[in-house]
Amino acid sequence: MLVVQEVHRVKGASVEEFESTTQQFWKAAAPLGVTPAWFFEVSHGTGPSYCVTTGLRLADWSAWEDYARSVAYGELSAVTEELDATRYDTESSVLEVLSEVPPAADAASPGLWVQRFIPPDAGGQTAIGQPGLVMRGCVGGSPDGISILSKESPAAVLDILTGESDTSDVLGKAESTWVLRPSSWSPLQ
Amino acid sequence: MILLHETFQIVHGGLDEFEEAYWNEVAPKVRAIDGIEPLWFLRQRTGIEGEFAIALTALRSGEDLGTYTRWISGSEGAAWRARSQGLTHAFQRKVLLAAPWSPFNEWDELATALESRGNGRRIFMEDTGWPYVSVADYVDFQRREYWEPLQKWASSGAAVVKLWGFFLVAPGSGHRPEAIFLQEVMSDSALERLIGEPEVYDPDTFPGSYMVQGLTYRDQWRSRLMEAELQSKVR
Repeated sequence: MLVVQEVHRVKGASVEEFESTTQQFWKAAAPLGVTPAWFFEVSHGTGPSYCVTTGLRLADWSAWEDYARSVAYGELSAVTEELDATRYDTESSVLEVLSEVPPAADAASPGLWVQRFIPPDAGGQTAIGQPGLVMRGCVGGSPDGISILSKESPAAVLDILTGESDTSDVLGKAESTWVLRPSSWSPLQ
Repeated sequence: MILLHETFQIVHGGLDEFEEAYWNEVAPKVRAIDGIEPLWFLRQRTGIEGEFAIALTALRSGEDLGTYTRWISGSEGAAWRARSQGLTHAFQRKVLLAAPWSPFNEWDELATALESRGNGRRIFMEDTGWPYVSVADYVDFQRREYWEPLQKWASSGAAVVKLWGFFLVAPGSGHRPEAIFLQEVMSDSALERLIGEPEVYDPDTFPGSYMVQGLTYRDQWRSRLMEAELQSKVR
């Protein structure tokens, strides 16, 4: 399983149009076997304004190639241009899912999602099997590094950001941490 | 076919050691995998960005890209990663998809690149542009106002650059909007004029017409001049 993750710099006055066009894009991509995974906003106080992270699931690299060609030059290019009109630019990456464990039943709801990026060869693979998604960067973004996307309560996020949480395990090796708030219609809540 | 584009920002003074490691520890091993073909190692000894190198690798399909990333991030690629990490301070890996009218679409076209030989120094120019208009319109502009006039030049024997390919960065592998021209400079004297003469363009004659019209599509681009390693060393 692969995930195409994009970090969009959205135009502030076009946020609603960006959201509706993203949903159109997802519908248009469905026949290619592309499944929506998440629509997160970077939480206020933790990063840039109007910054959105989206995720799409694809079965394999062959599906990725079909998707990529379609966006670049094919049937998804027109709706992608509509998205382009609502954002300044986007940075994307392909991540391979190494493990996926649903959050515990008592996980905070509503909660936040935290994505930690661990550099290559820093032991990130030891996180495989932990709650959330553990993924390996393939192209774009942080190639060969490990990212861990896990659900946390707002209180736990504050502890993470202030260094109060336990950092003795693999999560403490993260060189970058993103705090993400799901939209009401994000598949991952 | 897709083109893997890996940029290595190299620590000062480390370019030769990095290049030697690339030829010895990576290129022969990935070439042994069906569907993966290292093409060029482009290097810049000095410039605004300091020392850097770009490794371009042809991949037959998306599945072969998956094979490559598993190899390079797994135990087989561990020695290379360790060596590379010690000699670089930044690294990017993106994927390029050729425009439908550009070379580098079909795997069979690789023969042209693999058979090409330089006589001594070969200089490549990579132009990366960030359009502020429709990406599709920008791609068509490049076909109409650059690629096609350049083919006329080439057929007349007057071309000073060879266009190896025009690409978009593949979705899932980096920045959008971003497009790249990969060209080889065929004439040192033409390059000297390009570097040395003021940028005054005749809007009615190619290439001035291309430069003037281009401003309606983008005004930010980056040109990188790089030396290409001889194919004899590659093979």
